[in-house]
Amino acid sequence: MNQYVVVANNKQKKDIRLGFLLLSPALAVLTLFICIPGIMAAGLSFFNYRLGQTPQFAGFMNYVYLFQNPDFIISIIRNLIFVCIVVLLQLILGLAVSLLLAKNFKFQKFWVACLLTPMAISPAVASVIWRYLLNYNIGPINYLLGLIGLPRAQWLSHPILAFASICFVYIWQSTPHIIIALYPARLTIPETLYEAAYIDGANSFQSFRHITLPLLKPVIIIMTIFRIMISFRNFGLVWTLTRGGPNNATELASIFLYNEGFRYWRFGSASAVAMVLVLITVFISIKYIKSMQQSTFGA
Amino acid sequence: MKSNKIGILRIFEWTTLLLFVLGAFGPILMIIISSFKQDKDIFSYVPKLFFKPVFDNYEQLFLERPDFFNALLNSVIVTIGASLVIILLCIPAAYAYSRLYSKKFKLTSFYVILVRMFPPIIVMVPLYPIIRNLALNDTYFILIILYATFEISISTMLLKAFLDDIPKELDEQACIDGCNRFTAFIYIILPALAPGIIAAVVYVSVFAWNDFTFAFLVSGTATKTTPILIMEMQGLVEEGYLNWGTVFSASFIQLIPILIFIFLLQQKLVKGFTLGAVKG
Repeated sequence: MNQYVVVANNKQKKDIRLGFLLLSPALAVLTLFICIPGIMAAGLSFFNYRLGQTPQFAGFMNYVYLFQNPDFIISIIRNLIFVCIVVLLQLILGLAVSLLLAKNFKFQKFWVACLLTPMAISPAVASVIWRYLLNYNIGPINYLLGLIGLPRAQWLSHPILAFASICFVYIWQSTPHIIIALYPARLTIPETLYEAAYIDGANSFQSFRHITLPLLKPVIIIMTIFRIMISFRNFGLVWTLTRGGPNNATELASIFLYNEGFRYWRFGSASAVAMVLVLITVFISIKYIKSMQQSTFGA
Repeated sequence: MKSNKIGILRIFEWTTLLLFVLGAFGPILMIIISSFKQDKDIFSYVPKLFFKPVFDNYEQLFLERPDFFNALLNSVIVTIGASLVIILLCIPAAYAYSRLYSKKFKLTSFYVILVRMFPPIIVMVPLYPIIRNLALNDTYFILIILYATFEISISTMLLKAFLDDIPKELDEQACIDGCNRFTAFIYIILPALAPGIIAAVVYVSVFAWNDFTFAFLVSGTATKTTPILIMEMQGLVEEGYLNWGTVFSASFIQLIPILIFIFLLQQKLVKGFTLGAVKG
């Protein structure tokens, strides 16, 4: 009996050793290309560092510089407004589409594929599409406005309209991420619940309010956190659409960071921007990370 | 009376659905169609619904923009490269989490998820000077490794989920039949894991194929990928050096694999939603 325990223990130890061995390549790459750079960014944020020069210790100067820089503060506020608008609207839109899809249509698979396509498109291609559609002179959208008697709009070169446009295009591209989570979740709700509610005299709003919404709540919460996190860091789409312009009107925090680091070569203060963004992201997503770990890897 | 009401409701549902589909897919369809239009038809202020389809734009792309096909080739290379790296790194890791799991791995699993939260552009700030110093910018290697790195987390979780679905009795049976852990993996698990591997490869491929940020920061003339070239072409179009049609045709060519993937795999995509939720 004792012998078996020893053998089992030995086998377990061997398993653990093999496990770590198999995990190590992936963990090493993650460490080398994400973790160490992350720590380095934290360090660099306390240095004055322009590309090609030796870093000089600067204490909190980069942070002081940032928080005294109205452009930075405004880019953070602008980013928060962007995140609120896009996450709220994509949730509403995604929920609406998911509930509608649950009604089952002929050629359902085809419609689902069409609805999901925008999320699988490169920011570069999305920008070609929308810079054409929103073009002042030849854009079909201005043409449609003309048909109903409205004047043409400077979609991408008027500050407020440009901000609205990047929100709109971002929502267009990312709503499928909501659909892909909420539509299957809606399908798992048994129809009998709705039938029972119908017999009890509930109208469709009441069954939505008291059946659909509570049962979808966990998925909605997770998706909200996740989408906040992802939309907070968006760079590619806004860069290809407006490059932060006109007149910085669409300069989100990531664009500010890009300019600071990759345009002016101030890698010290760019790292400080990065740290502020990481802190905000971690603050938002810590709950999500924990639940993710529990659901995929067990407690 | 009642069936009439249902009929009206159904018409309303169909109309809403078609409006949503039009909103989501219409813009894409529009540039696909326009890529077969002559320039005068694209430019006509009144959009033309009926026109004679031509391949002028594709011809022009072939003749005048050989760099587009170079970029396409670069994209293919980094996509395949990143997929291979993901397979090599994530199958062993997923195997460890699924078959050898012990409490001692808990910290590593937290780590795998946590590093995924780091925004790419932030990691690039400290990496960029190093990449430059090592003369790694504008190489396939760095693009491949960056794409793979940012997909390790999702791919490992995905492959683990697929491995968990393969009954452990299968391995044990194989062990009784004289296989060791390694041969059991090769002969029993690997074939059963094929759908999972395909799923992981699809995810990383779509990411590498579409990515703008990384390629924008580290690729140069030698490794320029399709999205970067398309962005440059778009700039030329707006400065008047290139036709809209040419950039539309380039975009459509870039889109073809994506469209195939979406229309073939949407069923699986919807099923794998929990994993889809961790995607950017």
